[in-house]
Amino acid sequence: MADPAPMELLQGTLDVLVLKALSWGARHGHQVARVIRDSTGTFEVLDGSLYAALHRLEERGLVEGDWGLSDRGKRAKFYNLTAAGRQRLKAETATWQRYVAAVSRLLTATIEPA
Amino acid sequence: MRAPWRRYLRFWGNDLDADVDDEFRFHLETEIEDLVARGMSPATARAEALRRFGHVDAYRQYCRSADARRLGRQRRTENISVLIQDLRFAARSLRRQPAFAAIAVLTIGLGIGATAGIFSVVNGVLLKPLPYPEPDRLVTLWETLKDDRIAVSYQDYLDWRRRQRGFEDVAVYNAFQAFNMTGRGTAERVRGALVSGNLFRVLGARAELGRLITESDDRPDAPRVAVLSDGFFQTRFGGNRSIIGNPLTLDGGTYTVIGVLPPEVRIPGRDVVLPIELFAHTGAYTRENHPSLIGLGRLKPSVSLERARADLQRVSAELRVEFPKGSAGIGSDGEPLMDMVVGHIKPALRMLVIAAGLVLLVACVNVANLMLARAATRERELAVRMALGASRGRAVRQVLTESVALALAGGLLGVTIAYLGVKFIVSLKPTSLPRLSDVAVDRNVLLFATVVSAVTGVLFGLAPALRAGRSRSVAALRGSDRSASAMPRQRVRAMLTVAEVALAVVLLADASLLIRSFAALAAVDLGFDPAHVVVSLVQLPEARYATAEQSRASFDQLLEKVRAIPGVESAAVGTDQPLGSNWQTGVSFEGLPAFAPGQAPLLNAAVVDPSYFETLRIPVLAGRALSSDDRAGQTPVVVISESVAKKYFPGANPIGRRMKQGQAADTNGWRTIVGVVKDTRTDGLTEGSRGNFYMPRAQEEMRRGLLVVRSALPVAQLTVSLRAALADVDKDVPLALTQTMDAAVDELLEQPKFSMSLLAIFAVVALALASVGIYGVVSYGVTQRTREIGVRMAIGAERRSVIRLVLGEALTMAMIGVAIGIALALLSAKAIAAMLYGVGPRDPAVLVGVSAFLLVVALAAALAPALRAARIDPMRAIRMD
Repeated sequence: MADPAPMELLQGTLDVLVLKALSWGARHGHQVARVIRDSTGTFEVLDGSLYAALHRLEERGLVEGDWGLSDRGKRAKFYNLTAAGRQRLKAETATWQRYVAAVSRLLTATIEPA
Repeated sequence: MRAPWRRYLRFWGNDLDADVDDEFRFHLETEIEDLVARGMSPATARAEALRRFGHVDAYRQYCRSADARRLGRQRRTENISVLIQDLRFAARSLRRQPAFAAIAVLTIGLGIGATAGIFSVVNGVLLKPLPYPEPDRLVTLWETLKDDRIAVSYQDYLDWRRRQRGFEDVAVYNAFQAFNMTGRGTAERVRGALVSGNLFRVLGARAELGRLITESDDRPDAPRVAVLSDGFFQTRFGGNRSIIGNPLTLDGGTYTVIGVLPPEVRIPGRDVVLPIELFAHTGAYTRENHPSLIGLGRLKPSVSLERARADLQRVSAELRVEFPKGSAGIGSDGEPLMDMVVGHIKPALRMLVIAAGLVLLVACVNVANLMLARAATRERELAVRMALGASRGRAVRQVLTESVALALAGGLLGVTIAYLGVKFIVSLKPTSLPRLSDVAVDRNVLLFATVVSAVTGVLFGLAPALRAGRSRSVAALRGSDRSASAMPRQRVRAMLTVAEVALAVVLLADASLLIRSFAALAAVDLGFDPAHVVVSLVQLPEARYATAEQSRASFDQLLEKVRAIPGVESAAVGTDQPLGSNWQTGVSFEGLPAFAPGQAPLLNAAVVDPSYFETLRIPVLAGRALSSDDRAGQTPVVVISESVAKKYFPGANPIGRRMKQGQAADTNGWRTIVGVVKDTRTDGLTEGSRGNFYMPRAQEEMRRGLLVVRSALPVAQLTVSLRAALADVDKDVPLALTQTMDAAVDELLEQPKFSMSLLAIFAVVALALASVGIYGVVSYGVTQRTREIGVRMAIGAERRSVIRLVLGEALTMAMIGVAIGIALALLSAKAIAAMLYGVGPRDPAVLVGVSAFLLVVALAAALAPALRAARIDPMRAIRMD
């Protein structure tokens, strides 16, 4: 099956994806990029905008950056979710699911709603 | 915008920009490695990685600014948490030494209390603008004769108004009028002002109720109107608005009340205000007469006071030419209205501000001293903190936080002290202090106290703080109090104490000078005996007392009844009283060369009863007093005062010579001098007398008279009897302005008393602080040198010599301080000279006395530590740590 054309990411969704990518533990930027690219494959995400998201989230106190060594022994900045970040991810996920449910209910409806 | 941020970040913290670069570089390198591992050529891989990344520069910029914002916020929260930490630490360490904290807060409180209190007064009296629009442009105007300020002639004023060019307009008022108000219960004496129709426009005052007098009211044919002062409206009419439009009967004339002045308008500040033109036809408003009129001008916006004054003087010069007789020697001058209101109190307030500042300085020095002593005990703790990695800045900040916290606590106490002090001052209602109702601890004062406290805290904390920053010595870590750094510190403390003593000397010397000056003032020979004398004003209305005979008969009758009151020793009627003359006139002497026009001597004139001298106990020095035989139709006579005799008849006998009012060629009759009496202080306590002459009441006209009564009766009881006596003569004439002569003297003494009392309080506070300082330094020195003293005693020093050693140190500090203080007092002598009377600013007795006193105080303060030193047990002292 051929890949469908890359989709534009909905505004604000990138931040949630980054939070999700970090929810399994500390990762540096490159790893986050790979997680997002591999697991979705659908979105055209520039790596630069990912870093912008990371720094933005750090400024808001949702993630915490710390310098460490990568598995290849190079100096890299690792990001971790803070408690606030974890909470935000939970809230965003719930909102997203409600949104998706509502939209798909309407889009898959076969009978005109009363 | 970015450049300073970068410098800041580079200097203070990690290099954020480099961090972002490193992060991006790591990403790109890893990506390229991955792509190459999948078989791409390095060049293609590099291009692909960059493509996937997007616009590197834009993202770098974005990340950097996000980081910068994050770091700034972080730093701010850190600062606050450090402050809280420091405050907590300060509170803890102060709680451990409550005595230190209490003394420090009390000391600062006294200093700030004194300063804030005086600032409240200065703020209210000098700094707050007058309650008129653009008050800086308001100028008080008067006329001059020789060097004297005199009131304005109404005719001159009219010419000023027509010819002057420096002011938008000039107005004139007479605030010393009084009327008998009848038709509303018992007759009442009300204080009145006459104003030109433009006065309120010039002032920019608006009516509180109704309307104010305008130019259309100020015409002889206009309906008669009156404006009430707010005070009179409230007290006499209970603030009842219905008075507006109703009539008032003043001196028999009927006036319609048209409005009420707002409370803040204090000039003219009388009960009722009437337009002046109605009165302008009377004899007092001719060219020659200067009847209590004061001018008020509003400068044109572009004209300076100097130019307006010069222009007015040009008008005066013209008038002198046009009216050689009436305007001879008359000039004009002016000063800002604010100066007239507060000018007389300025020097005293300035001095008190300086004094309060000195007290604050002493307080600062004292607390700095305490902090230094404490720093010794804390040095170990700070050294430990710094050894554990606290930066020097952090240590300095810690100590400063503590001192500023102390100072702010002191400031709080100070504001309380100032509040109570100001309340007390206002409750005294010193008449010498104008604008008293503007004096209060308000927002400005609070702001002032806060700023002063903070500055003070930094000031007295700075020395100990910088010291703390340096305390890295190993000795301090070991915690030996006899460490090398202890000695210079003790020297700094001794120097601070010397400074305290010096400041205290200056304050004490100035206070003593003022006390001596006050004593000299109070002991001034008044030339009469004020005790048991009561003075009241009686004004017979012109309408019913048209002729001189009518009023003379009524006064005779009144005197007869007053003398009949049991307990009245003697009584007299006169136009003037000592200490408050308001009638000066030029005179000529027969047989002396005529004075040039405008150069005639101005003497205080009075028309009095023969018994006037006896009642006031003014001694007759030569010839005789006036007698009941000096009647109308007899030879006109006059009695002169001593200084007139000495000045114009030096070495000759003035008795039998003749003098007259005005110039020799005038038509006034000559009067024969029959006696010389002692001078009375008539122009204020400090001024020598300009000379008086007294004419018999029987030979002059008098409608406005002061009833002077000598009696041992209580004033209240006497007043009732006098009022009854007056009512017997004319029930529509009120007895006004009753005052004892003693009270009149007290009024004159009040302002010097006010400055003296405050300065004395400041000096005592400074002295107390200085002695605490001496005690502290000496006592601490003894503790520090316990071992040394023990050794001395072990090798045979006597207790007495130990005492002498300790006292000697205190005395040395005190002597150096006294020497500096005396030098300062001598240098600043000029500043206080203007406030002194009867004592020089370099009075040796004061300087010697104050020096000796301070040395005694220093010895007393050092006595307890000296005795403690003498009780040191040598063996224990040597074994000590």
